[in-house]
Amino acid sequence: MTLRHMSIKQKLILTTMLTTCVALLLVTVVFVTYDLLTIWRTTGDDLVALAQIIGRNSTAALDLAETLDFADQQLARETLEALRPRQNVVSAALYTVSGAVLATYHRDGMSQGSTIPPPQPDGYHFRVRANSLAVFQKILHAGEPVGTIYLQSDLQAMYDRLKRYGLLGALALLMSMGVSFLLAVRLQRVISLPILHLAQTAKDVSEKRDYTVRAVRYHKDEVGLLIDSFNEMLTQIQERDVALLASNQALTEQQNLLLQELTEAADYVTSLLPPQLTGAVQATWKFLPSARLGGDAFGYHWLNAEQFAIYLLDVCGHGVGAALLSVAVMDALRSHTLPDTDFCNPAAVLRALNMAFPMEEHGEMFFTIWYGVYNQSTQQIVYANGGHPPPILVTDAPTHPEKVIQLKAPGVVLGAMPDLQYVNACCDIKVRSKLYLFSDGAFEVTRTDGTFLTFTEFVALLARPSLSGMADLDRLFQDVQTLHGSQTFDDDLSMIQIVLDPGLERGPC
Amino acid sequence: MDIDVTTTAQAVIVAVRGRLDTTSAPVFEQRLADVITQGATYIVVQCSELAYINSVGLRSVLISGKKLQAQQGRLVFVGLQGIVQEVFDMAGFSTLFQTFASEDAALAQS
Repeated sequence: MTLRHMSIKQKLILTTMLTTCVALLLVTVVFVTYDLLTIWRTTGDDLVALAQIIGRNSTAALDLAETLDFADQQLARETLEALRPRQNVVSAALYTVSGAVLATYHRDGMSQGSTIPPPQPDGYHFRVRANSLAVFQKILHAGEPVGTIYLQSDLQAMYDRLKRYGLLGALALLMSMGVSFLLAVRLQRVISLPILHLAQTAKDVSEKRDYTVRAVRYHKDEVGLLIDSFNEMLTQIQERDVALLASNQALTEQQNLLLQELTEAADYVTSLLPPQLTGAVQATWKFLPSARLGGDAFGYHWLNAEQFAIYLLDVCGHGVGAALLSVAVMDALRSHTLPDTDFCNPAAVLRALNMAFPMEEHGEMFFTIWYGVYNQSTQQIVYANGGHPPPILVTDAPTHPEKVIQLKAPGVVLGAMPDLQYVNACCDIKVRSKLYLFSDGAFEVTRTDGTFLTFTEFVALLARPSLSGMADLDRLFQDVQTLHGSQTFDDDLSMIQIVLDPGLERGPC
Repeated sequence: MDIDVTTTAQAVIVAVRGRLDTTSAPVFEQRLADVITQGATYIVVQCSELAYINSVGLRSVLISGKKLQAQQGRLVFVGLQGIVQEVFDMAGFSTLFQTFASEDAALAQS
């Protein structure tokens, strides 16, 4: 685990202990260094003093030493032998004033390999050799140099002291680590406890989404300030939460009211739709308004004893505006209020509607419409189209050459431009046939795989015979729902089935 | 829906991708309104990557076309195909607006 991923508690303890150890080590190094330098200097001073004493004691031997006879050398050796009690003196030598070695001294066991250097001409000075300290001292008698003394001391005393320092330092380090750990464990709580409490409170708020809880402030320090700010932030969130909840409730109520009004508007549009018919002309329909209310509307009625009018319109867009326009258009068709218009002439009806409902005067909305008039006597249907999907005529007679016919006619959507022209087209109905009208919502649906149903595919679906005994429109509606993968649609869905049977008498009008 | 507007010497080309429906039609209409306000008089709408258009999309097309016509301009369409072509033909828009098979053909008529 790296330092940055440790808990606050661990970080505080570790930081305290590391600081303590580093401080202790630094202090120890400074003291040991100072002490070693002191020992070094003291040892050197001792050696110098010793050299001076031995030197004074050797003047008698040195005065006579120019002859270098055996008696002088013996006297000098005896003088040097006085060094034996000094365990740190490894070797010593006496030189005559001419530099010749008069006598030497070697501590027991150290004679082998220990060489005596030539005397130094500059007199009093220190020289450090490997693991030893050396001193040369000129010997004076009556102010005149009579020789030189050389002393070499080992550094064992210094090393022994260094070892003791090491042991004591390690012991002090262990003890201080233990004590600092105990203190850190206890004292870190002052810092870590409020932070851990704050972290736990933040976690609780996040998990339970409860903005009523508050963190407790322990001290008046920076963490205390952080906790105060955190609590203030919670208060603000809580207030906003309450305000948001109230706003959501108000919006929900408003939405419910709007949905209720949309439902009432959809019910009203539905109530204007014609009843189902039986007899020579049988009519059934299915109408599923979208959740946002669309602009679909349709109707059919007898114009006179022979002619039966059928129409389906679809205002672009959704909502109350589209529904209002669709109701207005339907009302004009039902009540024949278009001026100077022959309602038995589909093209004339579309021209009149186009003049009566220009989009500039009706909320920039246009609409599509298919309007047809079936003449029972002539067994013919005359129709005109204003940008609407063409109805499909499916004949029942197996011997009829054309089973599925699209009742197409050229024409632009209504309200788009003034003075648009529409033309009549006609189709003979000689055998019992089913005429299907529908809005684009019936086939402009998205399939479950995300692709769109095409008009051609929808026509194939429509012409498929119903094998289950289910009514044609119910079966078609179910098929579209299955392809869409949902029971609700983005647009209004309208389907009308008119069964035209030339062999039957006209039904009640 | 994504819209890319490219201005050339002959025309402003508006490439529309995805669905032109109830949600995206206002955005499309606003972009065309901006282009018209900037003085464009010949706008080519590139529809080769337009997957779907509904009646609200047609309405935005018609409103934009009328705005441009009021400024003596023209709105033309390129690359209509599939369902979009079907809806265009069905609504009679193919007679209201000029359509071309390629951008080059449309630009040649600017």
